[in-house]
Amino acid sequence: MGSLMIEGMSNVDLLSLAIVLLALLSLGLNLLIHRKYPYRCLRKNDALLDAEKLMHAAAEKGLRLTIGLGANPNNSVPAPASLAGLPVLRLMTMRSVFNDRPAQALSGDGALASLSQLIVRGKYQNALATELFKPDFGLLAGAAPYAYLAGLLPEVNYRANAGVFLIGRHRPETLLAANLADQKGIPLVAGSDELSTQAVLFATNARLCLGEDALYAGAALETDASAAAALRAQDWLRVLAALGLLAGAVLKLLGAWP
Amino acid sequence: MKKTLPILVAVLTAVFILAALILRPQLNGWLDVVLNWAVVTASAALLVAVATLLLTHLRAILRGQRGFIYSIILISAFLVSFIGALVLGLENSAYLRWVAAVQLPLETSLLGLAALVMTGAALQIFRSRGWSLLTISFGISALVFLVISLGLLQALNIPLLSTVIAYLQRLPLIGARGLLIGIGIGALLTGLRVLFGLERSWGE
Repeated sequence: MGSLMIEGMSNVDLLSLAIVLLALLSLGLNLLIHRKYPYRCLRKNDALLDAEKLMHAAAEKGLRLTIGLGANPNNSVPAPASLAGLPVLRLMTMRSVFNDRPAQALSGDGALASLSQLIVRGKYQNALATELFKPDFGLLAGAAPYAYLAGLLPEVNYRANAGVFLIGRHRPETLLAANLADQKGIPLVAGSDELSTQAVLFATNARLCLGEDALYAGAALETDASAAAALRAQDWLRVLAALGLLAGAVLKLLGAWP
Repeated sequence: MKKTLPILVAVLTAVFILAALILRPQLNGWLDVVLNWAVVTASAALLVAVATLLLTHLRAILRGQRGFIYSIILISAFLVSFIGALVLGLENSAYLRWVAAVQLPLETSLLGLAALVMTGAALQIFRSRGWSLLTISFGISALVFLVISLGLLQALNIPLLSTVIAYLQRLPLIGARGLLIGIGIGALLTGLRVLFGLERSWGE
């Protein structure tokens, strides 16, 4: 069976499998090591810590928080990065169930919109306030990236916004929403897995999650122990990747690697 | 049961897809079937989301909410596109032309607007972010790559300068690779958390 498995696999497949197993091992070890205090001494993103402050401020002022969960560029099944905003939505909804203006989630993808509805409804159920739930709290802004942007802009422009979050798969055009928030003086927290989006958002006032930080919102907000373990595992793997790259460069320099 | 069943289905599907990627020859046929199910499920989710959106806008019209005129436009555009596709078919050239005639100018104008805003934001970066090592290097690299992209320096045909430009043009790739490795590992770990039912943002 083992040889049959390896026969059909290329070197790249084998390397990918090794990386997956290594990631699994480091995730498991981190879950085990830090099972008692998962968030102690954890590297946290400042932008996501500000997000928590924004949630408190919105509750005090009786204002609304808006979150854009991103669009799916290929209209396919959501990628892991598409789920990045969901932990934020979860906490945001939990904190705003009894607020004057509950949190508003907008998605650019059908599956993501359904997931956001599920989260929002679940939080209202947990708070025994199902009668306060409205399906409008988790809406599909548009089924294509530009349609999503067109649907997002009026919600960012909403007069009673205390803050805007743009976390998930966002394209560079999202700058329009960030700029609108800037002009209206609305605090903005943004994070995307797209490099060009990160670059254009850097030119705004947005509190940014650079690199892969947006994927670990659950760790920064201390709502998901597995996200904290994944963040630690990520740091281990990053060190390994850096060492591997260095070793590869040295081997190539010495002529030991073709 | 209501909470565990969806997680169980998600975990089993993810394990199957991972197994199918490893045991490709044996499970390839089944992988296609499962991926088709995923497409059908995603389409059903889209239908549910569209129905919710339409109901929200219908309610806005019925209540005469502020800005309900936009709700009327949205529902009319949806109905025309939907009925048009049902009657003429998705491959009909007239229907496709009609959709493109609406969609393309809208997308192009948004893109043009984004380009203008991007230029403005780039000029204001020092005001919004302040003077720091990061903003200064951001500004300098933007300027350097703008000048390189003009192609004037390459036209001078100075060997040393061409070598420097070739080196500089590699730098963004190196930086991007570094970020992409981080994002890739992050996506992998998120995927593994989904695979083992640890990532349950939607679970309750």
